[in-house]
Amino acid sequence: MMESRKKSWIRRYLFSTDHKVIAIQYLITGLLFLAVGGILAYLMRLQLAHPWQPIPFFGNLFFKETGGIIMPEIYPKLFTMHGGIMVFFAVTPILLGALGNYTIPLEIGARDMAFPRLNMISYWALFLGCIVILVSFFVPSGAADAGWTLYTPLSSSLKINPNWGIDLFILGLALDAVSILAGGINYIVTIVKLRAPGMKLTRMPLTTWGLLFSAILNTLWLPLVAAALFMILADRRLGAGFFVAGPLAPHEGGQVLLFQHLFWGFGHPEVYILILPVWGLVGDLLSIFSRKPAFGYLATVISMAIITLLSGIVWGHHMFTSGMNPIVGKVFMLLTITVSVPTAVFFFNWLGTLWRGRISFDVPMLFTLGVVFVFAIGGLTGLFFAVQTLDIYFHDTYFVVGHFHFTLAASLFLGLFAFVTFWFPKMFGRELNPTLGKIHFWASFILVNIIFFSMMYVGLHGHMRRIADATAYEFLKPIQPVNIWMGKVTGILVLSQLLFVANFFFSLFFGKKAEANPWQAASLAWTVSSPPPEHNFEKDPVVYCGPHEYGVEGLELKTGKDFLSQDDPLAITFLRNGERKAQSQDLSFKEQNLPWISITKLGMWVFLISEIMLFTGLIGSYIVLRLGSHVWPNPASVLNNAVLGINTFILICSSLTFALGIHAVKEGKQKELRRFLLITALLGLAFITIKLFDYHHLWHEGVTPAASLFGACYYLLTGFHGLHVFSGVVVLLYLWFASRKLEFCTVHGERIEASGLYWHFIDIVWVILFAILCLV
Amino acid sequence: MSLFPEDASAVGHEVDKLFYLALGLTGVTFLLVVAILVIFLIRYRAKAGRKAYYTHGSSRKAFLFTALLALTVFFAIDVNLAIHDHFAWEKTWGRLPNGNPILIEVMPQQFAWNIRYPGADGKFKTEDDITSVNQMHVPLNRPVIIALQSKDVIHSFFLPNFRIKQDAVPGMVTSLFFMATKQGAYDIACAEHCGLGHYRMRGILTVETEESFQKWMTEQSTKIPDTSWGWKWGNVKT
Repeated sequence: MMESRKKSWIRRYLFSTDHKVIAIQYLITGLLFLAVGGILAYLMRLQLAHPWQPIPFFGNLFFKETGGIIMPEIYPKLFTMHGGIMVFFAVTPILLGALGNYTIPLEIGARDMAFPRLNMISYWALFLGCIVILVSFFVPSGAADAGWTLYTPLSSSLKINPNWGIDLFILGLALDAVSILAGGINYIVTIVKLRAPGMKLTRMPLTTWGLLFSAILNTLWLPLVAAALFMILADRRLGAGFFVAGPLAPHEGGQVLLFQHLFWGFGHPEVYILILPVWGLVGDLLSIFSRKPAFGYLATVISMAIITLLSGIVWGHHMFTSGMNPIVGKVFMLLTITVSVPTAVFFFNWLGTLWRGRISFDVPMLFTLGVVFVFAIGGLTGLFFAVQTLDIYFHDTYFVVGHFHFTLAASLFLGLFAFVTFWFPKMFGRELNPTLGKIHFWASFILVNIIFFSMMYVGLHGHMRRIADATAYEFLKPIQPVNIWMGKVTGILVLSQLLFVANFFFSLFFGKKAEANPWQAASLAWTVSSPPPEHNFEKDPVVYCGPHEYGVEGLELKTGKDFLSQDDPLAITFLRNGERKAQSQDLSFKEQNLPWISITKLGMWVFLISEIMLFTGLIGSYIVLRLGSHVWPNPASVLNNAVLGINTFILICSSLTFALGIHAVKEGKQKELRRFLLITALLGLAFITIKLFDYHHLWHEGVTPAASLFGACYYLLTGFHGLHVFSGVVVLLYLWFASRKLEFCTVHGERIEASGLYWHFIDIVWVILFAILCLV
Repeated sequence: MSLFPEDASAVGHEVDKLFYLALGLTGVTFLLVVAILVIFLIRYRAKAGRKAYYTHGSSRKAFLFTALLALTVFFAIDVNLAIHDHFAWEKTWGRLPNGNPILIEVMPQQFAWNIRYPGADGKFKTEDDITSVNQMHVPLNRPVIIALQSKDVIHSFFLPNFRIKQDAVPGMVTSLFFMATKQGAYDIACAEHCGLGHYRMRGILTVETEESFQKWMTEQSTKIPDTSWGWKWGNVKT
């Protein structure tokens, strides 16, 4: 506590490494963007209700030059940015950024995240992304307009779409991806390594489980879409033509559908990335407010794991109308409908938790029950899209929009309010006003249901999504009154959210002071004060039981409480599965779990997995493109293989020198380590220099990304690898400088080892690239 | 008012039937879940003297119940729908109806539908092709096969009154077929966002008797066809 006093205001609130402060930064950013996304939605509903009529109020604000009318070129920007902002800049920051950062260390009994500085960088990467997204509204010709799914070639052909908004949108998403991946490393490593003594995996709250699975999915699949987005950038600004075919294509061989496979390869898991933490939260909150243990805890966790696995192999159901082989479609259909089985288990367990409970209806519980209701609709309507014949009629209609707004928008919207209203007292030490909260719940719950149900209704009638004016079609004229009605209801919904804003700010300053445990919750976070001290726990907690020990028989008579806190030693006498103090308590705090791998190294491995997936995306695309191309040249006749061979040799040597450096660390020879670090860095630089000469030469020979698919693939793959070598050299030089002062041989040795892993990885990637690009 | 737009095709009702089956299955499930939810919320609400029943739901009985539920969902809903889908698919996408089919090539572009009939020689990309923009005529009760290829970005050929849809992608040919059973004018809509004019990319499909269709074809054949696009009919299922 003394230490924190000395820190400046900037270090404490702005560039803080405290996970709780960072969580609040994420929360505020996310809520602001939720408002931006909400206003964009409202503008769309107004345009659809009264096509080409002046928009009241907002029209004068945003569309003054056209007299408040939304022009046809503006409307696509509205739905593109609504989707992009809601998914990546509102819900992701709140449900992964804020919920993850705030709860993970507190719930598992850690003092902070595994990498607090990386955590701070995660937030600021998102912040930069947010700035880029906001700036994109104001560049000439405005924000991105190809839909948030960025289907190619609409997004990737410069001839069709020369607008800078798309480039900025991709840049903003890339920064957000850095934030999410770095955050994911922190979540995974923190959960694996920093659990308090006795906090077995099966004693973690379900929210923590949800966040863990969600971080795993991000680590695996986000790099895939990152690869695809960079390929779009290459298409646009280098004329590469990976995703462009037909008359617009710069050269033969581009494949339009490849982008959709890459996009939905991430895009479908993204649904679960966002909903998994909410499922966890629902499980925990139902248990707390029913004063009963979570029913079928293990079955819920296993179901989450099964969905995590399934989510990566069902993407094809987004592409039934794309011209995909119907047999492949059938496989995707069967895989997709299987998701309903684990989902059914959730519902069974949620109802099981309520069964014979003692249910109270505080505001967080109301929002939780709201999630259960809307997710039932969202989940069940999902079945319609797994069924091929039906999906072909419903594809790209408002029936889809309604469905995914039930699963994503409504569930996540209500879920994030469950999160905020539940954790508000812990975060800010004040209580929210429950009456305002209840009115806000009922307004939000009823109105989102009306709006999204109406969307499904017009969707049944065939109303296409992303059209600016339904009255242009004869068959849609009968349902135009529903569009008018939705415009009105959306207006009320937007207004009703002011209740939350008012409650949030009023309670922040004037709310009742919150106790340490206002909800009588059993997990570790609620054993410390509200708000918690800087490093969470004055003394490292020891955990004796699971997170949901409510209504334990005989307990109330003895202690006056109906629940056992996870750190309550009474668990030993009251519960059969309570355990005596683990002997491992004597071990140092961080060496508890998986002692054979250090935190730094584990972090590096998680990072490398996402790197592997990035290169899998790139190399996989290369293979698909090359197999589809008819005019692929013999690489040996185009490339200077002698020079590239020498370069390969140089890189292999650098791996060797790095290995010698690590050997020096183990021998305790710091001087030798410094020498080898420098040699490795110089070899890396030599590789990059030769590479640049190679590029220069090839470019003058006429091998450019725009000239042939071969050129495009060559520059993409080797260019990405070159950037990795460059960042590796930067790390090496940093280590070299740092090793003048820091003792790497005794204290920080694992940093050298982790960097070594990265360097070897880069070298392996090169050997693979050399083999498949230059030799075959 | 019906939930769907008017059905003008030979098999649209198969799609509608499948929808009502799915609606029934999911509707019953939904009502069941909500009924249990509401009953529990009322019955087990907190009041003086109520004590929660302490259970982790991890007993053998709970496990068997979970497994039973999973199996029920899988077979009663999933497999059930998959089987019905198989038969509906066969009719809507798998088997071309009997009859002499009309072949049409469509090349959408931002923001119009280019339409091409093979003309008297029955071959595409020849001088006697018949082309039109946004106006498609087909006769009653004859199968129509449409081959699609986009000129620029992805569009999606959507006939709401026929319950079918197929993306038109640049660089590849996709196809669909249908058979009209009701005379009239129907909307051709674009279902894939294709730029700022997406909302007004509307074509008209006129379904008429064989005689008036032939009359229209003869009228059109006097016009000079658009030779800037078109491809030899091939690699399209017939």
